[in-house]
This record gives sequence, structure tokens and C-alpha cells, in this order.
Amino acid sequence: MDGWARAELALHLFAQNPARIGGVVVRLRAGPARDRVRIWLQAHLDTVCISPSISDDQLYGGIDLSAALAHGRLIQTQGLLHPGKTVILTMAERCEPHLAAKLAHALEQRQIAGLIALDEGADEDERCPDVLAQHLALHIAPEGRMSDDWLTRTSGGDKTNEPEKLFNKINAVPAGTVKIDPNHLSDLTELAARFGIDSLRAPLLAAVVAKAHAGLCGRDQTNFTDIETAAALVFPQRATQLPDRQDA
Amino acid sequence: MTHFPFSAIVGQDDMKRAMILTAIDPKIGGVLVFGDRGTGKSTAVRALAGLLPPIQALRGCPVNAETPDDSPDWAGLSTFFTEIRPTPVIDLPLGATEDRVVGALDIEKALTKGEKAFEPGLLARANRGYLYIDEVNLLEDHIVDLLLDVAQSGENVVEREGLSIRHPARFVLVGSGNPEEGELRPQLLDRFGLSVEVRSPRDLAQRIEVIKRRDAFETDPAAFMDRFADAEKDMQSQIIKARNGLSRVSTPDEILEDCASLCLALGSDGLRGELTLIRAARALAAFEGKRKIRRDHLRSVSAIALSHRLRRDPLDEAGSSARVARTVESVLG
Repeated sequence: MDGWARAELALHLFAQNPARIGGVVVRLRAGPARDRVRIWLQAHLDTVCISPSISDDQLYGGIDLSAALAHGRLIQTQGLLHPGKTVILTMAERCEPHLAAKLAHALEQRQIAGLIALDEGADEDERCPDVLAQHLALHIAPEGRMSDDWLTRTSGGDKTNEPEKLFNKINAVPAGTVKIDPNHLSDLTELAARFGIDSLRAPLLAAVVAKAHAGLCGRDQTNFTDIETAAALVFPQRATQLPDRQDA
Repeated sequence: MTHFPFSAIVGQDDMKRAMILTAIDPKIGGVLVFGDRGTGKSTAVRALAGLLPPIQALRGCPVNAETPDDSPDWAGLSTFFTEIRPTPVIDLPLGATEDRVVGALDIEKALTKGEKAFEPGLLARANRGYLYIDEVNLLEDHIVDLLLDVAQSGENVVEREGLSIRHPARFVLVGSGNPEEGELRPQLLDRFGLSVEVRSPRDLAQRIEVIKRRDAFETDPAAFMDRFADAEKDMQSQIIKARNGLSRVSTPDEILEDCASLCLALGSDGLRGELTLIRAARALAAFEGKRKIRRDHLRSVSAIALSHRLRRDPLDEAGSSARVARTVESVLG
């Protein structure tokens, strides 16, 4: 599976269970690919777009002064955070840790459905702050040439097992009903440790992703492929070391 | 939202001990939990809420006052019935404005009735309870300034928009943060009685158990809570017992001497270190059902009570917990 196919799969997995997966960091420079991600998200999910300079009033809501004075009673504006909305954060690499922590808190408290961080960072250091990125299970950064029909193929294509058919399968098996084998949990934890990932959030998120993948494939029990896919999607960008091949 | 049960937390003994001690004796002054991401800091703090014994408060009182005398006039209570409510554990989110923290003019009433009324903030709600700040080192400076003052005086004074209001705001400060986001101001650091450094368990079997429990909790919270209901109840009654036994724990003179020499050897600022050390040791003794503080108690709590009160020693590379451990070793033998 190349980076583009993996990215496509990641977005579908996210749509399968946004609340638990948390979100996706999409590291792509401005261009047709990034546009397609946005169009796809806006077509399939209830989204709201914010930028790193957003004020707290916009985020949480505040007093609507003119309406309040006109009606003679307190009228609050609705903030952009809403349990049903997936937040798209543009220019995520410019996001200050303060905002990142607030958004992470909103995710944790389920004040939003999920979050997509569109990260246009140019170099290694310019990236979505960790305080937020750690809550987003999937990180995608496809490179090279994308195929002409990436993320635009409609359902009803002829390649039945390809991601283009995937969107129709979302929620065919609700994510909450998929069970994970306890051995698979151990495998994921061990694998995360081999990658030198200290945080225990990583294997937990990988477990959620594995379940989402099983659900997407129409199963209510995880199998080895789900674990493999989840590990490939969640661990590499969090890794601090390469797993030792000999004991792998 | 149900919270992960405290007794289901795997390992993290220091953090759990600090939480239990502060639940036994709120006067110890709260806990600061510092550590890397994904170590279960906020899980533990939120779980603490489940352990705290309920309080008796006047019905409808915005500051959870116990008696009519403690209830401020502006609350406008006309009847004084008491009720049992859970100890408040109030979240202070990073985005909270000054208005929301200290309280402000009730704009609704001002607009509709032309009245100047006070709308209490988070500090009022946290009175007699706990105030929790996640990512405490990202809290904005002007909010920190407010907190420092109120946490010290136990009273919130609001002088703004033509209001002049005061109300009790005695709360235990609980914070969690990640050292990567920067250091905490020493003044704020000092307001925390205990500080714990957490890291995720090194042992693979323990890590796997953490993941299994967490997955079980998230898959079926109700069943998971059931599984730990007895353990939670036991823990809570043990805390209540320890609270009641606290005043009967005696402090032998040699323990006081030990405390003083420990703090002198460490060069910790002021007397707050000694006081916290004794309080924490006493709470631990009460928790273990002992009538007297022993050296073992001091040993167990010295790192969490003192490591954040040391002056920085540029010639000493070792971490502050290691320095405390070394000094405890040499002073207490």
C-alpha cells in the first residue's frame, strides 16, 4: 500500500469512528491533494473550519452584544465547538501550544466530534504541536505523485476491495460493536514499546484504529491484518527508534 | 461522563499516594503531577473525584457553604436547608476568561432588571473542594496571578464593574503538566503541597494491563465500573477512616527534629516544606491506621513533599527527586 492509499484509508477509518480516533494530522503542502482532502471531508462529515488565530469568543461563544441590547436580554453567540462537528484546523503548524491544548481538551471532553489538522509545515520543526497531535491517532503525509482519481473516485467503482468502495461501508458494522482480541492488545502494546514509544496513548489509539479497520471490512472481531494496518498507521510518526529486526 | 475508577489505575504508586494523602488532609495543599504525555495524569486526577467523601452544604448556595454565616449575602438565600453533595472538583480550562474564573457582573440581570448582581465564577464553585488545571504550565499569566492570590488568602475579592464582593474560596489546587511545555513559576509551584513526577510503566506486562483495562473501560464503562465498585468503596471508606483518625496521630519530637534537619540539609526555602512534610507523614500514618508518625512515613513522603521546593544547584546534575532521596538516606540513615 503506498502513501496515498494509506492516506485514503486513514480518512475512511477516521470517518468510521471520529470520536475515539480523535483525528488526523494531514501533512500536505497547499495543492490539489490538500484541496481534495478538504472537499472529501466537507462532503462526508459535518465540519467547521478554524485557523490558528481564532479567538476564544469565536471558539467558545460569547455575548452577542448587539442582539442582547436589541432584545433586552442576554443572548450568547454559539461557539464553534460543537459535539457534532469535526473541526478542520488549517495552518496547524502555526498553531500555538495554548490553542492546541484547548483543542486537545475539547477533544477529550467530547466537545467536538473530531479534529483534522491540516499541517503545511515546510521543515521538520514546523509542525502541529505535540500537545494536540498526540490525541490524533492518524498522521498522514503522502509524498510523490498522486493518482488522478485519488480521493475522488465515487462508490460503485469496479475494484471492489479498494478504498473507493469504503465510504459506503462506514458504519456497516458500528465501531462500538467490534471486539478486539486481548492478544492483539498485547501485540500492539509490545510493538509500540519496540518503536520506543513511551506514551500509552499510542497503543490505545492503535487498538481503536484496528477496531475501526475491522468494522470497515465488515467484521466484528479484529484479525491480524487490522493490527498490522493499525500499527502502520499509528506508530511510525510517533517512533523514537526503529524496532530491532532480529527479535521482531 | 463517567471517569475511570481510581482503584483500576495500574502502578503509578507515587501519584496515587499523593492523591490519597491530599484527599485525607486537604490542608496539605494539593498535588502537582508532572510528566510526559500519555502517562495517565489527567485520568488519575479525574479519578480522584470518585474517592472524595461528600460534603454537607446549604441547598442552592453558590459557594457550597456549610452554615448560613458562611454563605455570602449576595447569594440571597432565603431558606437554609442543608444537603449532601459530592466534593466539588472543578475544571479550570485553559481558555477560561478572568470573568469566568473570579465571577463578574450578571449581565442578564443588569440588562433585564437593571440590577447590579454578581454572577459567581469557578472559584466560588471550587470552594471547599478541588480546582483542577490540566496543562498548568500553559495557563495564561494573568489567570495564574489571580489564582496565586486567592489560593493563599482563601478569599476571592471582586472589585469591578461597580461591584464589591467577597466570598470564601478555599480550594485544593491540583495541576498536571508536561515539562516540555515549559517550567512553572516558583510562586505557583510553591502553592502545591505535593509534587509527583510520573512516567509510564517500564514493565511490559504492566503496560499491557493498562491498555487492557483502558480498552475494557471504553468498550463498556458500566461493566467496568461494576468490576471495581467494591474496591472504590473500600478505598473511600479507608480515606474517611483516615480523616477521622488524623487528629489522633501524634508527632514525636524526634520526628520534628528529623524534619528540620532534612529540610536544612536540602536547603528548602521557608518553613512550608517542613509543615507539608509533617502533614503528609501524618496523613500517611492515619491511612495506615497508626497512632504515631514514624521515620518510615517521612521517608515515603519526603520526595513528593520536598522535591519541588529545592533551590536549583547548578553543580548538581541529578534530578531533584534523586537529591531528596540522597539526603534522606544520609540524614535519616
